[in-house]
Amino acid sequence: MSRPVRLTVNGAPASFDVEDRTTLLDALRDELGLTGTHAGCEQGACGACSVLLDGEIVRSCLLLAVQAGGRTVTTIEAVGSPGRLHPVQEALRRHHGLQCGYCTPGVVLTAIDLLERVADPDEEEVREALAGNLCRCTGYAGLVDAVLAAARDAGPGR
Amino acid sequence: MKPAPFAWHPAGSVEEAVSVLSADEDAKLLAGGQSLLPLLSLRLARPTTLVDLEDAGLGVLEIADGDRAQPAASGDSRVLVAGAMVRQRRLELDPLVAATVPLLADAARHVGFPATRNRGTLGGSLAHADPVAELPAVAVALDATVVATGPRGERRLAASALADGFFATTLEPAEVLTAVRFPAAGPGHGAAWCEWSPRLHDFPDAGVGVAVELDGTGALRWVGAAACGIGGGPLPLGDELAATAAGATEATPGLLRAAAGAVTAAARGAGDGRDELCGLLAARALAQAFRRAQDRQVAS
Repeated sequence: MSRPVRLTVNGAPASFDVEDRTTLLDALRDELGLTGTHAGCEQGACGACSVLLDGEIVRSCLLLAVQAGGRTVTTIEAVGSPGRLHPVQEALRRHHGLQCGYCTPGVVLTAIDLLERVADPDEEEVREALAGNLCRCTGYAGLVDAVLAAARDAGPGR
Repeated sequence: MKPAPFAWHPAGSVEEAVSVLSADEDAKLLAGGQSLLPLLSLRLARPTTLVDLEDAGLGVLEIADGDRAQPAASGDSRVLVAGAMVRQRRLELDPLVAATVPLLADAARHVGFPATRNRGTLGGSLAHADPVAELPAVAVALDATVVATGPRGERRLAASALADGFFATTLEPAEVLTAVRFPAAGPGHGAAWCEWSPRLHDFPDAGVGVAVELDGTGALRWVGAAACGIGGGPLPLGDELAATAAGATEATPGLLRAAAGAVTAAARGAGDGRDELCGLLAARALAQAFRRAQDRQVAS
């Protein structure tokens, strides 16, 4: 049995009919075609599926789509554009913070969530914030450098 | 589609949740879902119905008068009432929690990741009863009271009476854990949570929470403590630390060595050297708690 869900995704109204057991991750990808949200472990361990729910970082594989009814979801599709990267995306590119790119959408949104709360994080805060985002390519040093650089470039009073 | 089929039932009240649980023994509660969703996706759990507590009115976080004879934990007779659906992220960041139950705030920082703490709840953590979970041990360390509502109404039980081994509690099948009442910290209070996990923010091998209260002369008059990761549920360590630290005015090397020894003995039998790990963590937490209590006395 499926159920209608209405929510706001990337600033626009969205709706779909899904079975109750459908995760938000699957609904975003399969119902709305927003495949930038990546399915990694699908059990909460890897962070590839991270999205913002009402402005807070969450894992879309650990949320039912029906639980997002009436809420606001932001996915990587709303962040930057090919011609105008978000400062976090630009910093990741410059600091070699990605190789295969599979973890990148979750990393970008997690970094944005951190910088919204802590404008000038130190390395430990960045490592702590990114601890739940597994990357099998970069060895993390580039990721940490990028987030620190993005915070620095935004400067005080960002 | 990873989980097996189920029906999602958003409950508008605790009573509604209790009635759904009473009518269907295969119905399960959904709090934050950060442990349950993986179990569903792995099909280790196959409930018929998920009763969602999001809108059941369990988000309270407030100070209330204590309802027992003077709580042992504190020179303050008030309690912090935290609803079952209070998010772990709020426990970590809300200044009210840091001021009144600092051990809770200190431990919450170690639960999962920011992304899971934004959804994961206090009640879900206690009811899930993962042996390595921090929050059930915090409740035991502070001698908190758990409030549950079932078909026969509300009852209260000591946090230490909630655990019933690995991933099991003494809650009745149709009972809903609704709140936890934590004794509020008095003026000479200090607390610290220390844990060891091989990877930052992953599940810990073991963790220890210690809270102390110093009297007006700076001497330790009360200590509460518990560990996670040792056996099937929170391991109370208050008696062990009281036996070694009562009356102490400083966390001297000798005191810390004795505390580590007593805790290691209490955790004996835990595999992979976890007993000694537990002793080290307890000594570290005791030293930090002592320092924070002294700082708090100086500041007040």
